[in-house]
Amino acid sequence: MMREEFSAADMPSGVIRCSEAQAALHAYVDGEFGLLANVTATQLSVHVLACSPCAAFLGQLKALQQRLACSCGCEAPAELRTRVITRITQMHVNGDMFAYLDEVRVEDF
Amino acid sequence: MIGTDDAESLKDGVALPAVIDQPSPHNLTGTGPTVDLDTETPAERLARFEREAVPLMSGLLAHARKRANGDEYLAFDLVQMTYEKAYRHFAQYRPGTNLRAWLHRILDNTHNNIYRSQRRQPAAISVDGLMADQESDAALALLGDFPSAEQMALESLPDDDIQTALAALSEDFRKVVELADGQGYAYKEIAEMLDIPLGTVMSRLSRARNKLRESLRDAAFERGYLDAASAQVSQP
Repeated sequence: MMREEFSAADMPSGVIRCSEAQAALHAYVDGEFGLLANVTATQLSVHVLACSPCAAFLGQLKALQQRLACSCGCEAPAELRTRVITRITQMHVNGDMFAYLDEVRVEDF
Repeated sequence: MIGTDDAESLKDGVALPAVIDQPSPHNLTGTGPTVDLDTETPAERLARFEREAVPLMSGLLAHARKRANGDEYLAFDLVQMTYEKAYRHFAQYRPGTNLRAWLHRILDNTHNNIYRSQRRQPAAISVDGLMADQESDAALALLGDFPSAEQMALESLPDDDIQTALAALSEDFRKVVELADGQGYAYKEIAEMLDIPLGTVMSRLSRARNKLRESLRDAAFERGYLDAASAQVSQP
């Protein structure tokens, strides 16, 4: 079901291996891709778009990260929480007409 | 179905694929009781939003910190913009699907849109390579729309399983994961906090995540979220 991974012998220059791609994907999901000197974003995306195991790996990494976010019990600051709730309550009071327009527009496509 | 955030992306003339709209297999991450969207009043929708979306804010903030590169004000703004968009489009969110993933996706799109609009300014387009990298970045951001069985299991497992898997890590590994994924600190900050080299942060983090994936795969198998074949998928 899974295709074999690229072996080193198949590597044209500029093509990266699964192991390199996956190491880079860890940095990519952290927004730290700029730290990697050995892999460019183009190399990474060319690899991942063509390699379903690495694409699946990226999805799993993102899902894992989402589950771990604040799993350690940290809370968003009250200041931010208040800001957001105030804003959406305002939108609820003032903005229903715009919300309605948005819905119409999206449904129409 | 057109994804909720498409209204935003279409404005920029870039068609993004629909947000994940497969119901999560065990309905643990999305809306519990079914909602009749046709008869729901705006006040009920606001209440549902506050009940379901607002409690996910801490996780979103951790995600926003990563996107904001340590700029706490930008991280706050990203979270607020995400909630504004999410609320505006909340009727488009399909109850029972993965709300957390939906919100994280909106945050990523919001960040990408800021990125794109910055790129239109002269200073940012002076280097061709940078352009290419940002295009690739956008391409990669679109992946993950067709979740693997393991991804769907990760999205659906109860929080207890996540905690158990974390507790099973050695302390060195757990600390790095908590700072990076739990709170969204940058590698450089973690290196300073723990007084270890940057390379060690990166290697501990990837090893810790691989261990977590392994134990969560086992947990998902035991709960029947994954069949034997999917549970045995090794590293590609």
